[in-house]
Amino acid sequence: METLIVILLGVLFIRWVVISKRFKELDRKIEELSSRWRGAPPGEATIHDVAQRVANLEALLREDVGAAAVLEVPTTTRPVDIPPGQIETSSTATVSPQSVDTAFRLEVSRRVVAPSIPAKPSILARLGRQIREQVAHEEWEAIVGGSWLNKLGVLVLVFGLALFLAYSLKYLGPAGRVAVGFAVSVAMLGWGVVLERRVRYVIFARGLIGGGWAAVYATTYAMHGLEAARVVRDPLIGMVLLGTVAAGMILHSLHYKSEVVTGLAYFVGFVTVAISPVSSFSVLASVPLVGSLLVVAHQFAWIRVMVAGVIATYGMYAVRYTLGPHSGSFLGDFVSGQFVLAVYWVLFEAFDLLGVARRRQTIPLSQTIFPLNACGFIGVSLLQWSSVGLTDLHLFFAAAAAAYLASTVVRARIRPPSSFDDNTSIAERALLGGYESAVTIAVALATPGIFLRYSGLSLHVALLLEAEFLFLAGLRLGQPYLRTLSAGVFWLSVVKLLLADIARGGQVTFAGMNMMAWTSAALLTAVVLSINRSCIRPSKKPLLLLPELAYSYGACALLVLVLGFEIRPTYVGIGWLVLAFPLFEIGLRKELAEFRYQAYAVAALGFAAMVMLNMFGTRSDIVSAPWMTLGLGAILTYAAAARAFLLRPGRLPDRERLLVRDVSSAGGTVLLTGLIWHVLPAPVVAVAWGIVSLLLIELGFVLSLPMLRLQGNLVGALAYGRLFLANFTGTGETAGISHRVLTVSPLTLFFYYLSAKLRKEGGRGQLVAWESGLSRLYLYAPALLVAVLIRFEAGPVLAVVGWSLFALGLLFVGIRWKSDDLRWQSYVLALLTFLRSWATNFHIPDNLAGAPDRVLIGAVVVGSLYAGQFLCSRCRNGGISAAKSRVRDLLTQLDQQAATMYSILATTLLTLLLFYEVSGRLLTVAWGLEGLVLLVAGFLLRQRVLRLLGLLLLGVCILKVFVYDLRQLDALARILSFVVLGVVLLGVSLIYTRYREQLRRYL
Amino acid sequence: MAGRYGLVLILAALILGGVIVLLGHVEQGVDFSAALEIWGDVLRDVDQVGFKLTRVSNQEEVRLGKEIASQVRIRWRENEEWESYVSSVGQTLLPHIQRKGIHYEFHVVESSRVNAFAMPGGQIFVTVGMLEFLQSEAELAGVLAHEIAHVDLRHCIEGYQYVLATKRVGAGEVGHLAESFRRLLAIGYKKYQELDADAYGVRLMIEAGYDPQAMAVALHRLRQQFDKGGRPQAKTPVGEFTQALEQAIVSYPRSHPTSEERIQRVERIVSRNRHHLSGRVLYVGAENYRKRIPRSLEDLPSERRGF
Repeated sequence: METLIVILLGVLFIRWVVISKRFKELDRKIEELSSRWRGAPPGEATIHDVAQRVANLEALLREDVGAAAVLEVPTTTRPVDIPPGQIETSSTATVSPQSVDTAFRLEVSRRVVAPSIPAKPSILARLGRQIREQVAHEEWEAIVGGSWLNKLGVLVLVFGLALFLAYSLKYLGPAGRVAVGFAVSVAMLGWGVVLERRVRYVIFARGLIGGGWAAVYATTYAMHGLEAARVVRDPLIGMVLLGTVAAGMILHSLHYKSEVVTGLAYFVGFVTVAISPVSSFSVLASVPLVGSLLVVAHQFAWIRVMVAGVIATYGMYAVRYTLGPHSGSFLGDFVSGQFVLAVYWVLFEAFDLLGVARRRQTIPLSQTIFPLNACGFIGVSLLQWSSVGLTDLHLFFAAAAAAYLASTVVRARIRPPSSFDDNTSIAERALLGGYESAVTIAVALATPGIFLRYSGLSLHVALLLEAEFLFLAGLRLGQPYLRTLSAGVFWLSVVKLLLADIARGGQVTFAGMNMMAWTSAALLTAVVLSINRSCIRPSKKPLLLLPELAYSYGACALLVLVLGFEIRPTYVGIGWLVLAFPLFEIGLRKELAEFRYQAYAVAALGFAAMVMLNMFGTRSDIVSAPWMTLGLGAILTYAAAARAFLLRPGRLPDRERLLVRDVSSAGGTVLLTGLIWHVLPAPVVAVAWGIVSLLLIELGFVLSLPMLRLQGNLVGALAYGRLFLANFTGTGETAGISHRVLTVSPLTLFFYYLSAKLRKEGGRGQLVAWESGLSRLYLYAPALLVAVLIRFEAGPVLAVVGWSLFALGLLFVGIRWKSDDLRWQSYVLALLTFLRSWATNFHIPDNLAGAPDRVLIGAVVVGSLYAGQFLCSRCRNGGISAAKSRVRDLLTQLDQQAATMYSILATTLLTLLLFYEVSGRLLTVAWGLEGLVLLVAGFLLRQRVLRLLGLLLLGVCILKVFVYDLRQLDALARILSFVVLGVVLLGVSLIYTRYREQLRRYL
Repeated sequence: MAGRYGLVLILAALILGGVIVLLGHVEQGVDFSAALEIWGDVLRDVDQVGFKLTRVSNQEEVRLGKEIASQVRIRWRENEEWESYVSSVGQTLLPHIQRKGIHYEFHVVESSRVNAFAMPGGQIFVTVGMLEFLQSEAELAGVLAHEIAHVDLRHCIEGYQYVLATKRVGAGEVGHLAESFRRLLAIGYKKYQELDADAYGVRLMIEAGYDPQAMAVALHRLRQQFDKGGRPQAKTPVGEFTQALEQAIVSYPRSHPTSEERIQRVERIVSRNRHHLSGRVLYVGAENYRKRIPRSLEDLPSERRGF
């Protein structure tokens, strides 16, 4: 302890040395300034001075502003009395004394301003000025010697007295020491009072008085507090005596009305108590000291003394408690110590409250009392408690919180919120004595107390209660700050739940059900948050209420978490989706957008969970339950879409309503598509998707919803693609009908129906832009399906029969309905038939029937192609091509030459068939006969192309007989070839000759 | 068509189709085989254009076949014990082939691998390993019929046509290049040629009086011995698609279809031609095979099966 005091004195000495250097510096600068000022006094200037100064000024002005403001200067040097008001010059300019004075000031300012002096004096300058003011005209040495040493001397003396009182001497008993102490104290006091009457000794006397009182107090304290000087056994008597001394001190100091004096006295008193051994009495002894300090400070509004008192009180206590030896019963000391601390707190708090009542908080230093008191009280108490153990620390927090709660109530009464301006911030209110500071500390104390006292669900309930209390108080009293505090506690409980409880995990059993240990806490929190949110109304200060506006989000998040952990993974998605509905309804009915947004977010979460877990099966432990998950999910999302669709205009913003409708319906379609995939066998999935597509498109037209139609088209595309994956190569059948036919055929009809439907709706102007080309697409898609179906149903070779007949059908319908697309499809199919027939030669590897089947197949195909030619030739197809592309142009030209194309294909195929089937010996005969048949048919049917082909074939035969038959065939075959061909050629020639005239008309 | 009745009609057709399928035996296969088959058809048709234009005569093919066979015989030693029996069985199939100008020769080579292959011009090779794998004369007839089908359907000679054609005009290198390109194309449809050969072989067997079911039995045994297990069914739509894609990529370069596909094809052919087969008695010949005495020399009534 003594060491500390020595250190303190040393610090003071060093500080004094530093300050004295600053004083010297300040003295030098002030001297410089004064000398500069004395150098050019304007009132004493002669005409010569004025002339010179004007010349100087002229030079200066020329430098600065050019010749615009030049003043003519008189050349005479004789002093002339110039009448006031005018100075004559040799030039035209007239100069007035005011302007000269002004010019001179300008010149002076130029010189003076050049070394710049800051506009606002620094802190040190102000300090220097203050010190100079304080010491007035006295020299510094005298000040140090007379005032400072006086004070230091008193201090040292009183310290020495205290040490003497505590020191055990062999020959001087306690009474003796007390007597000595009082003698010294009274002597100092008396001497001080006497010397005070003389002006010269005022400062010295006041030092003695202060030291005397401190010595009195220290001696009175030692009468009971120090073993070596104990003459009073009863602590009560000791306290009374101390109180008496303190009262005397106060009364006497009031006489001087000097903050410094009184402050010094109290400082000495505090130090005295500080250096004494630690005991219950020593602790209690500081109470009257503090109390008297408060009274004095309050009476005279000595804030600095008060602040110093707070710091000294708690500082002394802390130092004594941590460094000093503890005597007596430790527990007893602890209790009394806590009691004393509480008294301290009450006293300082009372002072602060009184200051608030007097509106003293406008003084910045007053604003520090409350926080100092809080820090001191709580800090020192915790220090003490830490040495005792923390098992009951919650009691301290509870008691302290209650105390600050009481302070809150008092502050609210004496400095009500209505006494502040509306635009005063919370921090300003707190500093000016509002209830905000006290209630904040109360909450800050209560919360850790709750954490220490409770655990598990009880902890959570307690936090909720605290928060709810604040919330309801805020609501009832109309105080947003209370509700902000409550929001902080609410969110703390939520954060604790998320970071600690959920992370810890664990399970409990409630009503026979296993659940997570934190579920009940989460649910309770969610309920409370929701109810609170419903009580909140829009505020003028929305920013302040921002944490509260998030209550519903917090409640929602907790419910989502509970569902996510409690429900089995299979049903998590549907659970979240179900949760979204009440949220949406609340948002809709209460017109609270945040609930609706939460509903959308939860619904999206549920949808994503269902897609990931139930449709894609990202987790292996998920039990498949498609009806309960995907099925129900689809129903719910479609219901949401319907709800949005049926809402009256204005209940929701249009954009939001449309978005909900469209997104929900799309989600429902996705889930329904997934459900179908899960529950139906592979070949039937495409059919079911086709049904869904059909219904969506129809509904889309009925309700005029392009989004539904888009979904329908997409599902239709899915069904189309699915066919190629699962329906063409399967071998299943029912009642002899392959599953391929049973699934592909209805879908083919479906796509044709779509084409017709879109064309019809397009004619009525019901289609949107992207639908305009779909009608045509849906005309080609089923054609491909039919072609592929025939290929797989009949096999790669026999498919040509189906293709040729299908091509004929397309051609017929295309001509009948004047559809370019159908005709073009028939041309392509005819070409494909030709190529496949040529490639396979109608040879079916596994056909046991052999040649008859092949001839039949060939005949059907060739016949179909000739039939196509016949159809084309009877109609005028195509027209002037308004082609936008080369392909279209080509197809249009093909349209015009369709009959020729069919004829060529058929004839070529027949020729090839004969080539592969008839042996080389009879080939010429066969081709010759074919040529003849073509010619005859050409004449009968009036088909020029047939006749031309016939002629061509005969030409080929002629070539063949001479190039090949003549060399390669045996004699008999060669003869037969030549003879038959010759006869044919002659016959044809005869016909052309005989019926030339008719033919000319004919042709 | 686009009116209300059209809607009802289409809806009814879709529902009816789906319901009827559900009433029958439903297969769950999902893969890209349909697309691959169509693609194979296209490639084959394109290839046929070249083949038709570069067709070689039967004599030229026989000459080429003998040349290649001599090279094979240098590499593998022939087993004469089996050769006469195999040749006898093979000869019973030849009267029903299309191309009569091809002279067939049957060879048995010493190899433990279960294999048989055909060369142009009627050169048929069977390994001892295959003969030990088979269990009846009908099964042997099925194998030989399959290889004969490759020759008769020109699958073997097509691999040499471009080279021969370009050699004639003195541009042999071009032919090799064209052949390489053709083989690349042929990857897409090679396995369908195998299915065609199976189908053709079934016809030959039936026409020669052998039970075509024996081919399916042999394929069953082949599958049990050599084919890998089936893949598990996908649990999600995306899984199904990726599985199908994976299988398509893996199976595309394969020269042979799976045994399962071949078995199904054979059984389908038999089923489709039931009306032709009803009442006929067909031969199995397990005992003949064990004794290596052909049916032409010993016709055992116990080996006959009524259809």
